Amino acid sequence: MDILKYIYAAAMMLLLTGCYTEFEPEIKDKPVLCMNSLIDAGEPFCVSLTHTFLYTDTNRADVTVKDAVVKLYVNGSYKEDLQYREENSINYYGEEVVNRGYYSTYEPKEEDVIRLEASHSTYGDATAEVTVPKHVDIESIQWNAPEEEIIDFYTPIQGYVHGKVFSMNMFVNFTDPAADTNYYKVKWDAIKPDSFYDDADNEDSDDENSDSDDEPFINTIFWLSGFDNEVDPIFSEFIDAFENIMGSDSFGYTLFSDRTISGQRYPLHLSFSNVRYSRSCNEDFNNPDIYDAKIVITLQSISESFYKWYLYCWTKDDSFMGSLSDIGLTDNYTAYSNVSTHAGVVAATASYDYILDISDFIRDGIIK
Amino acid sequence: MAVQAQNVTVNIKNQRAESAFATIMQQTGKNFVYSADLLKGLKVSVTANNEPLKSVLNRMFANTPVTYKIKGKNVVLMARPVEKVAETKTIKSYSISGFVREEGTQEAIVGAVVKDKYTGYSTFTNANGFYSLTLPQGKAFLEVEFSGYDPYITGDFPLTANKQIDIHLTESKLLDEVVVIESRNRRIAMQSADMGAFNLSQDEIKKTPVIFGEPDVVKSLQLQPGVSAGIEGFAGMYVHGGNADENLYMLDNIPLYQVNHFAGLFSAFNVDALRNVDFYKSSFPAKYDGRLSSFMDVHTKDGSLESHHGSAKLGLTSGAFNINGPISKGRTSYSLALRRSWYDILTIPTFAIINATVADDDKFSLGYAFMDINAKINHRFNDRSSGYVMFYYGDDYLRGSSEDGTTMEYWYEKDKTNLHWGNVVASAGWKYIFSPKIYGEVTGAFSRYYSSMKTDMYEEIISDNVVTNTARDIKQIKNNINDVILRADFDWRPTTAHRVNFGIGYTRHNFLPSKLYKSTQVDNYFSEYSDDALTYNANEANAYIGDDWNINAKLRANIGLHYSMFEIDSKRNSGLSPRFSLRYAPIPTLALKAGYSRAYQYVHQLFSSNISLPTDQWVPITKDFKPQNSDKVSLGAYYTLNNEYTFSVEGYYKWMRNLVDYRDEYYLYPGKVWDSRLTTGKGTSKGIDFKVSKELGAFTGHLAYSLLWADRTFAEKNGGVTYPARFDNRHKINVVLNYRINDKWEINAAWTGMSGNRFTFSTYSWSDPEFTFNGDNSYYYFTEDTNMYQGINNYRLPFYHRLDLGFTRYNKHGYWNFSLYNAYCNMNTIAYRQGWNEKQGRPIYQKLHLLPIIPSVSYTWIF
Repeated sequence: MDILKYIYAAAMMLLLTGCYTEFEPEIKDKPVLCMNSLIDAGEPFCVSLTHTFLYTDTNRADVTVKDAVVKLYVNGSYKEDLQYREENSINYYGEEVVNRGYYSTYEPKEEDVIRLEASHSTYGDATAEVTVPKHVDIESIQWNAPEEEIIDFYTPIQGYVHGKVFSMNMFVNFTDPAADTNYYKVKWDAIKPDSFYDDADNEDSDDENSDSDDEPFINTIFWLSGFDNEVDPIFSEFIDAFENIMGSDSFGYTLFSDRTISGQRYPLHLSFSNVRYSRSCNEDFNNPDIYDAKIVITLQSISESFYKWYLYCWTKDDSFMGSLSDIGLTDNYTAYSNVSTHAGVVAATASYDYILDISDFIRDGIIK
Repeated sequence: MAVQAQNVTVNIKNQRAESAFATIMQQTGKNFVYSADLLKGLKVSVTANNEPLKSVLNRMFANTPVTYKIKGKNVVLMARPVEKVAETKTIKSYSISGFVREEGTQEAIVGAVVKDKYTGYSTFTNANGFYSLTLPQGKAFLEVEFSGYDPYITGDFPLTANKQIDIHLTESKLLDEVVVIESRNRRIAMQSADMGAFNLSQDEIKKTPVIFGEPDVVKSLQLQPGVSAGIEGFAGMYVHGGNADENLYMLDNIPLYQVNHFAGLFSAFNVDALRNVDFYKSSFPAKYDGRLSSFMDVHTKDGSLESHHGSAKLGLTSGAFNINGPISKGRTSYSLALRRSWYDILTIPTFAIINATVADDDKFSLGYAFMDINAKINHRFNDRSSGYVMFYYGDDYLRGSSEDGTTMEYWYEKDKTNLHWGNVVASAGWKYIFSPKIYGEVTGAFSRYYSSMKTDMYEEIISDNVVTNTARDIKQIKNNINDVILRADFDWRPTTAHRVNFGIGYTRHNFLPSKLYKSTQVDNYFSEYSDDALTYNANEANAYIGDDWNINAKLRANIGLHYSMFEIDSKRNSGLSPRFSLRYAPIPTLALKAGYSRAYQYVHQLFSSNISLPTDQWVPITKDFKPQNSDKVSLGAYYTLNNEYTFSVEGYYKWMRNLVDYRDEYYLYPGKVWDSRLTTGKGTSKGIDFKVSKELGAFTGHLAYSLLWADRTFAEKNGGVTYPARFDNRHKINVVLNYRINDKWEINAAWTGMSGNRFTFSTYSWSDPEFTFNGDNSYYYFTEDTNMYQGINNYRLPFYHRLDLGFTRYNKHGYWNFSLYNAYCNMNTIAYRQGWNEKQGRPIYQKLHLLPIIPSVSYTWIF
């Protein structure tokens, strides 16, 4: 328990006998354009254009800027004007949302230098530039399961349940290109049988496609959880010793730079304490073909702007210094931005997916 | 009107001349007319029984520098004409040297003026009370004065060889307004070539009303023009737009790194241990280098050689005890001063009550304490040689612990944290009069700065009252500096017109900027990790020479050169710092000055917040950085009115280069590579300091006004655009008043008003890019809006003002001090933030106010 941060903050407040009062500062600036975009190599992309607003403006209308001109330049050459449109989509939580933005037809390639220039009659101009990173191959993955437990039981509701609960270590081998400063993010997802990789969830995946009791059914649970950020120190490299002792950790942050591994082959260590794979059905299947278990490990090369944005998020929300800022003992932590107006982030990624097939391990001990 | 007698009856023995005048005036009706300067220190003896006035006056002024004329009803006193020594082509010169010390305690008196009446040549004592005057053969007559002490005269004595005359001044029992002598700071202002120099005695520091009634040298200096306090209540010091780490704090010639207690609420200097403090903020003497903004040289007491003295102080927040006296009478003395805060003791019952009211399974404690020890032994080997050993220990700790699960059967947890930081200095020095013209001091010291933070988390799993599993996680971070210091400083007075200071120094630094240790134990499994933090060894050497040259009565120059070398990471940096200041006095009451100083700085402190925390690491420049340096030019005018008020105006312009600061996004880089977070830039500051002061008499004080502009320009901060410095306090006013009502009561008041500090504040927000929704395994997500970057230090906090009052009641055995910090309870704003109105459920902008009125009381018992 990182009690120190609470002790420290409490001590500060006791010491200072302070109080807070509301006030209205002189507003010196005007709203400007905010430009956000995440560009994936090989895919058209969308630029979200909004305008900045006062922190206290709770009655603000939609801040989307729909009537701006957004120009795309690639490697210094004008490519196209992005067109505004609104698209419905399903978000992370399965909710239907409307995506509003300026869409490209151009599909950026790795190492493209993308420059976006937006202009608007009220909110002025905004520009941003990002280089699409080059993906880095995952060369191999070694893995083991130090602890495992067979699941084999029957209930009237679930039927016959076969599977395993196990811990898992993976060593994801890749070689960092020596030339530049590179930034990475690693992701994972469990690919369930009768399913396909949809990039929706790679942490707690479970899918219970329950059919009626009368019909044969097969339900699958497959998840990877209990990821330990501290097993590989590279995930905590951005946390300095002071923050470390203050109890700050990198929980949930799986990004890193190549500062300590530049130009080297590196076995990135991923450790999960709780991996569960189970198939339940209303017949006692011993068919090995149904135990198909694959994990996709994605090594994303990310732009510097992406990395910096994430670390800003960490500093603001999870660091001790962010706590001091919250109580007013440091300056406000203002956000990282690579847009000329200091509002918005234009980032880019290029990914490499590695499919790790652990079906044989799952079958071993289940198939009689 | 009664006819006045012309015969006089008087019986006076070794008393002030003024005492005799009163008797004579009463009997004769004659007035005595004289200038106050004429009678300084003059004591007379005369016995007469109804004798003529002339006869009595002749006897009274025989063998004194005073003569008289009776003109009507007035007796006009005047200086006796100097008997001219016949000039020859080969007039020999001889030196008179020695020490000026306090009668009884034998403590050195710094800055006392020693003047020969016949030639008018004068000098003043150095930090060890040493003086040297070279005078022509013949006769001499020394007058010695220092404010707060009775003047001393030697009378005529033949000068036919070099002489050592040690002088002992007696503390004045009379109020200073009767004995009009020049104060130290007026002498600095009017006679020396130094600019922005100031001297504080222990008494003056104690007169400054401060928070919790804890006398503080830094807070006394904060009341000077050109010195900003930083954050409310804290002992920060920002001189002429510089940063807090640009001030060199020296304790008996040894630099200290950790100069604060209690997050900066108090400075680390126990005033009871101090003798006096020299402070320089504009033109720097050649001796000082290593910081860009100011130099504070603290001199501690040697201890009385005659008798034991001391005091014990009991305050609301701390206690102090100091004692000094002879170990061997006349030869060896000691001085010991201890101070410790009570906060941890006060919190014990508080937490006991809190813990008694909560469930057994939830215990919590928190303790903070600071302490410091100053110890010194001084020994006189002979009249020319003395030595000392000094020890300083300043220490702070903050400890907390919590316990959970004591009543639960299955789980128990105990966490402990410990923050510990401070400074240890051990030094030894030898002082020697090599010749009547050369005085030297050799010092060797070890200085250690340490800062450590440790957490210890322990867990047990209990089943059937048996501990089945245990786990323990320990983390510790350290930041240390170990310095071994050798230095030699000399004071050479080749002629009366020249006072040459020169010296050399060497420091072996060992820096540990940041080191992390972690250990984990789970049942029988144990692992530990210690990062490969770099330690840096550095060699720092310096040499200096400076001449305080009294060219003539009107012109005085202080010319110096300081060379410094700093070697680290196989890279050698060096800097040559010329120093120059000039005083021109067209009339005795007016001095015009000009000065130029360059300074280099090789170590700096990285601040992580607006207050002083042990996390503020001291780090050296490394091979990727150049030493910080500054150039400063100053102009000033000083005027004294009626020997009572001193007016000064000083203007300056300072250029600062290679300043070091965190990058805007300093969180971007791995912790191990600490200096990769840093970037360099430059800054300027300019301003004018005005001050009028009255330092003598029952009523003293000063009124000061500062006008300041300070900015910074870093290519990698604020988009490369110049921005105002945090403590760019445009206007600052200080009013300090001390009134000694009578022997029992004294009132002190200090009012500060200044433009608020600059602050980085975001009023606008922008929509989060929501990258985390894009197929991510992270556990967090954003729905909040994002603070917009609107420039560094883009807002100025409201005008700051505060009145502090102090009341001192003296009695036979000591004194009570009652103080009111922030007497009219103006809770000043120290920060802005984006907050939330819980009741109305809406975002709001908020001001953070600190420190309401804080009364305190203490009693000091003097023995």
